[in-house]
Amino acid sequence: MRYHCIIDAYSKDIIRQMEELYAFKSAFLQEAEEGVSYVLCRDSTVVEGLDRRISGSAAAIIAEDYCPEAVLEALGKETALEDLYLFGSGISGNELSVRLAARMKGSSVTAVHGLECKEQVTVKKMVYASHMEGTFRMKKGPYCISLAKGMDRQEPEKGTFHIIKEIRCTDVPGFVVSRKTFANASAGGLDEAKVVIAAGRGIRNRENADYLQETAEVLGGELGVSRPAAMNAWVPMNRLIGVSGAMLQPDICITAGVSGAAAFYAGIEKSKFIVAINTDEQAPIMKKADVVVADDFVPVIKALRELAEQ
Amino acid sequence: MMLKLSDLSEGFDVVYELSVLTVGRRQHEAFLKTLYALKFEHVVRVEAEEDKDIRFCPEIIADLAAGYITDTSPQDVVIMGVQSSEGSNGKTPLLLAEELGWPCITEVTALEPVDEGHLKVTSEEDGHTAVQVVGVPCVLAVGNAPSSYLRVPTLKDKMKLGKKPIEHIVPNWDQLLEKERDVELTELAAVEERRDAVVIEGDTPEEKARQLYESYLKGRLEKI
Repeated sequence: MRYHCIIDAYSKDIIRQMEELYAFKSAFLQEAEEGVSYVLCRDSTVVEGLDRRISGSAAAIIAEDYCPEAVLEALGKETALEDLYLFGSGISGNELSVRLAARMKGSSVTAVHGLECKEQVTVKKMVYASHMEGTFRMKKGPYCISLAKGMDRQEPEKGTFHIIKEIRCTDVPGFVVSRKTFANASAGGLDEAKVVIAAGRGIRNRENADYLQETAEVLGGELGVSRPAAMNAWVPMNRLIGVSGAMLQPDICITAGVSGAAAFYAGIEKSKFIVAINTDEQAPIMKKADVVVADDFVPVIKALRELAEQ
Repeated sequence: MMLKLSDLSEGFDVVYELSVLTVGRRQHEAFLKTLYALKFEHVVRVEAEEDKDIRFCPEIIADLAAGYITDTSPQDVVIMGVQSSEGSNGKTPLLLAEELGWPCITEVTALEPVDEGHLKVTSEEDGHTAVQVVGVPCVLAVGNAPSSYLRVPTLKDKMKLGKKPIEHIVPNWDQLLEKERDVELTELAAVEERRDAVVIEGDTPEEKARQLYESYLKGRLEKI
């Protein structure tokens, strides 16, 4: 089987995408035939400027701004019916993989973390809110998959892509009357933080979230939150941890008032050391942490902060 | 999000007729009646068979929704979730958009009216937020929108509107399930995450904090 990678160069995390795709192909596609990497970009200088590559050759799909309709139109003309197409773990990866497969009468699976290409193409992904792993057989090519968030990374080989083709998107759809984009406010280095305090519904209010943010700074770290805390707008949404937020791998993760729902835990499971502070001894997080404190987080965190400040 | 959009429409001379479509079982009806009390005009339940598991069949859900829109009740905008927690397919709105031939915007976090034929849509893209004025029809998949809770209707509205019967659609399930699926679930395995879970003992929270810090955190923090 031949495979191709699709890289979204409109996104700022192009290196992360390439590292994840490279690790995935190294893990699961050693036997398969390498195809072309399609790079979605504003101009081909973006591709030329990369000093790492995940395949020998690349095709640049060029448009002024990211527009899924235009990209799909261009990508559809390039698609071979029996090939495998690997998309990144971002929003565009999910969208393009499903829609490309639908247009080409193939099959798609999103958020994939495992693959086997033998007589059939089977993939693995988390289901039931990350409590179970499902194995899915893909029946029709082209096989379009997007990677799961937080996959292992591997530094791609040094070198530049050989650009074999530039495809210019001309059919920009008319349904968008106007469009403006704004860079998202930074989550203050949450993704790369060595120390993370992860707060959940149990922290009760915004004041406690602010206090935990300050404590995280004292410890040299960052504050992240579970979905209920983000939905209550106690902190900005860009601090959400879990399958629909940040997937972290800090050295130390201290959870406060977090129940430990699987979809949240997926975001911290790669932490080297996890501390859980929760009044409920039966909360799932109390079995998933290295060390647990069964108590109210407020006096525990306050005392920890004083000790750290000393 | 639909109710917020409807609230905002007053100043824009736009009238939204809100409909809800779900594929579910009879036990979901009590919840659906709440939607009537919140001023949704049509609440439709596509009868799901008790013994048919469609959690991993997003193409069937997309087929049913597309059938409702094309054959029964034309719509200008379809607003859906991105994915259910059980199936986690993350495909239904995208497949529906493809089936209808409509554009689709995912990870939508806010909507505002513009005029009869347009909406202002705020959505998350990779690393940035896009604010677009788009024409209808379109499919919108709601993402991480803060403070998006279902409202609680007043008792008066519940009494007045909550008794309206739910509209039903009974599809030909045999025909729908006969259609060959592109992707098939072949195996499910439980995943259990466990760590040592050493319990810190102590008479007071302060004592526990000290033991936690001295024995487990201090050394690790110094190394960072």
